[in-house]
Amino acid sequence: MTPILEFENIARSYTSGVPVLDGVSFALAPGEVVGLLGRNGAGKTTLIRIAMGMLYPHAGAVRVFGQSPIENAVAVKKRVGYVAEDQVLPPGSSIAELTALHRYLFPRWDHGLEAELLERFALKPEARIKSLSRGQARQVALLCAVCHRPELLILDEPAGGLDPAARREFLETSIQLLNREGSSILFSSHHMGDVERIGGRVVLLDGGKVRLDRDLDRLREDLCVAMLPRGSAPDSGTLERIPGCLHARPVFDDWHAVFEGAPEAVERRLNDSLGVNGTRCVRVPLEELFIEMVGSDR
Amino acid sequence: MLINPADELPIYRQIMRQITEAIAGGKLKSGDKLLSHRELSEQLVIAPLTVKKAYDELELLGFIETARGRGTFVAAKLPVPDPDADLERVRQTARRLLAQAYLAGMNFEQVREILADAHEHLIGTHKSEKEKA
Amino acid sequence: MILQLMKRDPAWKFTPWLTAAAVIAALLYSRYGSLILGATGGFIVAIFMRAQPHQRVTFFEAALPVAGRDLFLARFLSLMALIWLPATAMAATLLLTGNGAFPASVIAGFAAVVLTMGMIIILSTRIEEFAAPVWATLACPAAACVVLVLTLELKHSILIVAICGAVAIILGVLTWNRIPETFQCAPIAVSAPRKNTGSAAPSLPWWPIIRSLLAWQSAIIIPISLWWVASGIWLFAPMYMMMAYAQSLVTTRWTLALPISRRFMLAIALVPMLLLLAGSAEVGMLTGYARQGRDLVRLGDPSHFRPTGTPDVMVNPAFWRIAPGGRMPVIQAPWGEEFHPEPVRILSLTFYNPYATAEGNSRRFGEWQFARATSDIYGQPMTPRELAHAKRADLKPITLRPRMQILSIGVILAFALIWAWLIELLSWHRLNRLSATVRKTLIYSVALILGVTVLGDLWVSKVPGPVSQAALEAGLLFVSRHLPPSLAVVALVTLVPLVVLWCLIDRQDAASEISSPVQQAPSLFDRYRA
Repeated sequence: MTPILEFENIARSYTSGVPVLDGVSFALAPGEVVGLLGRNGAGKTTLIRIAMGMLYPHAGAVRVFGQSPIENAVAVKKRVGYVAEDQVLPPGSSIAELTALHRYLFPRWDHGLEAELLERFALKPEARIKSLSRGQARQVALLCAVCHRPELLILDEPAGGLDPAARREFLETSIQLLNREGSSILFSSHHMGDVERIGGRVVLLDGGKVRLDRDLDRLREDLCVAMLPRGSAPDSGTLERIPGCLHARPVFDDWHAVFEGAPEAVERRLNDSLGVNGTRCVRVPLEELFIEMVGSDR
Repeated sequence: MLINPADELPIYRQIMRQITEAIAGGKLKSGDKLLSHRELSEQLVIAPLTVKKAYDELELLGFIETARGRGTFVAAKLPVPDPDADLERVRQTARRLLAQAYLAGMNFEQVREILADAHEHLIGTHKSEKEKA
Repeated sequence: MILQLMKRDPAWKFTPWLTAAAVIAALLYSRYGSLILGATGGFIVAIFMRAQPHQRVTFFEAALPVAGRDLFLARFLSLMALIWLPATAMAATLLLTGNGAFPASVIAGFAAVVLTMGMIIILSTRIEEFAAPVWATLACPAAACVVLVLTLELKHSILIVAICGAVAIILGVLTWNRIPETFQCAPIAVSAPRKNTGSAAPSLPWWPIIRSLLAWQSAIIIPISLWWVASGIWLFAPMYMMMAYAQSLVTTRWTLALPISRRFMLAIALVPMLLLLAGSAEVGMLTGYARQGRDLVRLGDPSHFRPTGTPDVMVNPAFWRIAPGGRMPVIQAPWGEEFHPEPVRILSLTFYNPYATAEGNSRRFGEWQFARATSDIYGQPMTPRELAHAKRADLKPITLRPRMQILSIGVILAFALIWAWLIELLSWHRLNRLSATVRKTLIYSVALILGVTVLGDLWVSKVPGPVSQAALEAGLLFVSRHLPPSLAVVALVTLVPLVVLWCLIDRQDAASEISSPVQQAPSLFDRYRA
């Protein structure tokens, strides 16, 4: 089956010699949900813009529905819904004017869904965009992105700056779309709770590369964080050479290392290979795992 | 049903636990219809794939059955538990419970009272639901 | 501290540029008169709007622990510097270079006073808030121009300027006393429920896109450009129009997520602007406004009259000839009288006015030359009186006849398309692969080449007006002479390069990308009150 969205060795930089993306590859199967994680500036937005055909990759290829989003821009965008944090709708237009434009552009526009969402978000169709709050404007953007029942929904930090209730409504709408249409979703977010709720799979970007790409549930069960005394290893490289170690960083008097495997087994293995006692291994929620993978040294 | 993403357990395990607890407590009985994954995923605001995964695991364990086109039901014949494995799990839980209680400064008698209360609660809700029915 | 605040003021940052422009304009003034003032005028207006005089403080400054008066003072001083430094520099240069430029330097001073008054009016509007309404910025230069023109027309101009100055001072003092300790980001008074709603059932689905095509700055840029085209000075007018196009690229960025082809967006943004340019040029040529005040042929001024009474015949440089190899031909009348034209060397080419007269020529020779010029320019030999009469009867020179109308509009549109192509080139995705230094060097060198071309044109020109436009017109006349008489052929010949240019832009547009963050600038119809 052709993937809905496929990145193949994408590289991109803004200043020469400072790659933002450096060989990123992954794909979305139909109906799959992928949460794109990474620190600010890790290249999430760049990657998403490349998928939308707004930026040229400097190397590699991107295919959406098997087509190039640059050469077949219109055909691709007809099947994609896009909401970005910095995407601003024309301030002087009313919601009705915008939805009219979208109805015209997308033949599959779902009037029932539009009415339902307008009611759920309590939006007045005649209100101008500039009279709306930031959250309401984002809701209008989401409405415009989902009402044509896209096969692929691309959300770039859709919930940035929204209150928890608005975020939940946002998620509800996305999940509804997933349920009704079997669409795929690629979304980036800093809210790990949101990622855990809807993300089937997590892709973590750091240093321009994919650092982690696996199912959310397996992430929880297969990975653990080991805390060892600082004296047990001379540098992070020593730890990272141990099989199963994904990343190690110093935190005050300890090493924190992300390992593959059940905590008890990792504990045993570490104590054997390094010959130290006092190693503690724990399973951690996604937020902690994210910090352990990309957080700075202490 | 409540989902907490920050919980130690993955979300699909949280769903499994809550359903098995409901079956163990008698809230759900053999043949009861469960919500479809769509309905449950929209109700809980989690990805439908996650709900599906929980249901699949439960079905594998024999707690629920899916009848094509009709929906998902609590299994007519609940799985016969593997006595050894279950015994070991209960033992582990008991050890953890006691460790927690002693750290909190309780003695064994108090723990026993808590257990009795919990028993009352499980059976009680079971009974009251039966009476309603 | 006020100096620190001024350093980051846009008005202060633009001041050196404007001062430099004023000095250059002053240097060129003696040669080109009001033409150069018009050209710099556009530049001044553009910079004036970039300086955003209506914005008293930004959120950043308002959050600093600085008193409102200090913020206001920094802003005020920067804006005053933006007005007075160039004006002073211009007046000083004019006075230093001398040659009867005294009125011009006085005009610069008058303009500064009038603009100062306008600026104080803008700054004093809704003083409690971050910003005055945007329309104030749009209205101020327009109003200042009107006042200035009135001032120069009326006899007691000094009195009017004095009144403006007094108003500025009084209003300034009143405003100073009303400055709050801290500015508000929204009006204090609750506004009456305004109609802030659009139609619920729009008739035209494209309306949101159409309304975001025009940035608010375009409201000034487009009329200026159209006025220039209509008045026949069309060399730089397309550039101004394409500034509006560059703005529209920013205001329509939100459409990038929609399944609309780039080709369509290009057409919807560019075609109306091209049509406006063409229409304006056509109106100017049909009404004769394109030639008003600038005769193609006339007798020399009385001061140029020879002692013998022979008038000199002056023609537009477009009708001058090139002397091949620098060898000057001899103009000979049928009765044997001769005239040796005066060579004018521009960039190693020698030009001459073939219709002029010299000291020793007879009056009859001057009349013969005038008749020759009119027959070349108007199609029939005429005396000055006959020409004046025919003009009143709406006789059109060959430069305003349909063939030349088509060709001129073609050149104007071609210029507009070249500018649009350059704008597209700036966002070429291959350009983004180069290092920042290379990119900057490229952009600056292109700007430098353009600047040198424009200034160089004025510099080397030894004829009145920029050489380029006259040269282009001469080229068009040449093309027109060598094309078959059919208008359809002329139209076709004009159309072909335009279509080629359009295809070029289309290809360039398809290869452009937006690597800067997507910021939505408000369009003309979506004005914010920041």
